[in-house]
Amino acid sequence: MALRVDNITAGYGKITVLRNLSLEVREGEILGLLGRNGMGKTTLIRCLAGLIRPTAGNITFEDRQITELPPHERAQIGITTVVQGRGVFPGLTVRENLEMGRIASRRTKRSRIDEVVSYFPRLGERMRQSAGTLSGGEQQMLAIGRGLMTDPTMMLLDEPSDGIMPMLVQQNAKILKEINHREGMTMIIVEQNVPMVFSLTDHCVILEKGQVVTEGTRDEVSRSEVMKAYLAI
Amino acid sequence: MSTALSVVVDATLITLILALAAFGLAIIYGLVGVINMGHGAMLTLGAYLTWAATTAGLPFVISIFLAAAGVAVIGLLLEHIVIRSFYDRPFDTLLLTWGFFLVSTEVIKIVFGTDLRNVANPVPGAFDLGGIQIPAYRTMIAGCSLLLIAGSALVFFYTALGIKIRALIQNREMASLLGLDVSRMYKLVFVTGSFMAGLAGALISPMLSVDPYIGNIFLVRSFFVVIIGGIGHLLGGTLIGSFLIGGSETLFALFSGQVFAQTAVFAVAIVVLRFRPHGVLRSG
Repeated sequence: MALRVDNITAGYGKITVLRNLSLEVREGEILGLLGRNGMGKTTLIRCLAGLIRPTAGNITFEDRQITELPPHERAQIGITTVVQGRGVFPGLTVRENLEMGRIASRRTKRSRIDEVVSYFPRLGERMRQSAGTLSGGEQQMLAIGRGLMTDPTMMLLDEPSDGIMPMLVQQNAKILKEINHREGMTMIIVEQNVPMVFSLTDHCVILEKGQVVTEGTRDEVSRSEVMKAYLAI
Repeated sequence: MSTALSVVVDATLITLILALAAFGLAIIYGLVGVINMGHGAMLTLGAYLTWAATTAGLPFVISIFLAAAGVAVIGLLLEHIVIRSFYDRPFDTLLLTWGFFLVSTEVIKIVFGTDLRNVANPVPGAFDLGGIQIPAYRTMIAGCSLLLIAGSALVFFYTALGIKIRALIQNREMASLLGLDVSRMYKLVFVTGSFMAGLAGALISPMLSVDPYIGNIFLVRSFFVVIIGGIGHLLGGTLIGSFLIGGSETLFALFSGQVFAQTAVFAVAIVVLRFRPHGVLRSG
């Protein structure tokens, strides 16, 4: 098992968002996390990334307890996060953004820039350009590429389609699937774009009020009442 | 003609000396957001430690590096014991560093007394440039300042450490999510800023009589330099801010007394901030 979340409760101050939430992700699997706004998807990603510490429960990554681990140590053991809004460093060039992934994580001395460019050729054409001048779709490519530069075994993606033109969303989804196949990388994707998630994975979870209310294959999830009621499918 | 040349030379020297004095503050304030009211005390400590080392018979060059290292250690202790729990709380760190200034000034008085001390000028004399006598030691300090800023520019823009620092300034949470140990980087930045402040105090010490308030001469100007240049614009901002403060003071002093010149400089600073509240190099 790549990741096991056992009964975690977490939130912001006195506001509890996740309530006794549990889930498991197998190695090399892509898990799609679906749900309406405010149901705890991003809070869960922030818990897994180490930005929010659960008040109860445990998180285990590759048989190692990581519940108390700060974000930088999680990156150093192979968890990379592509945040909502992409979080590129606007004043750094594309190359520097990518190198920052390798330098900060200290997981590998080998630069993976060539591999990243093979996934995202457009980045190769913009290496000297400031990241802040890229389009939203290109910034998303950069954020994913920078995550790859940390040499991760698991990638957390929070709303990777947010604010990106539909054509690029499809293209990025295709590349994520290719990365998953080629590298055997475990991925957890938080999305509101259901077709994108369904194009990527057969294992989905729907969150409702901080709990897992439905889990199953693409077909099972799309047939569920929760999905019909909340996501209007 | 010779007056114009003299003004240009004076303004250049003062700009670079001021940049040297402000650089430690620019690092700490600009990179980790701590308004270091203890900056003046760090300059003073650098000057006193240089005096102590040269009085003990150590060569000047070794003395200034020992002094800077001594202030860096004090900065490390200050950061580790006090400041590190208060990042993101600028008002608290302002008060804490002000407290550091008060305590260290009193400790200096107890240890060294209040008598004026003098550090022998290691490069006495002057050289002639088109009929203008230029003090050799001031020129040397200006050169050191330029070297330090150029060296920092190399680190900042061409090394892995520079990438980490620039990424940290732009998005701390993201830098941490990529694996950067933010608290360790903050410590490194604070200690580097303290080292630079100590080095500036050490280099300035032969130019002035050393007393417990020597650093204060540069404290207010250093703040103006950093704010006018643009917080976070470590290199260009420090140089431009120093030029506006130091250069305008030289110009005003040419036509008036020193007191009026200093007052006019602060007026210039206020006018600049009225129209560029985020500094000359920052937009928005």
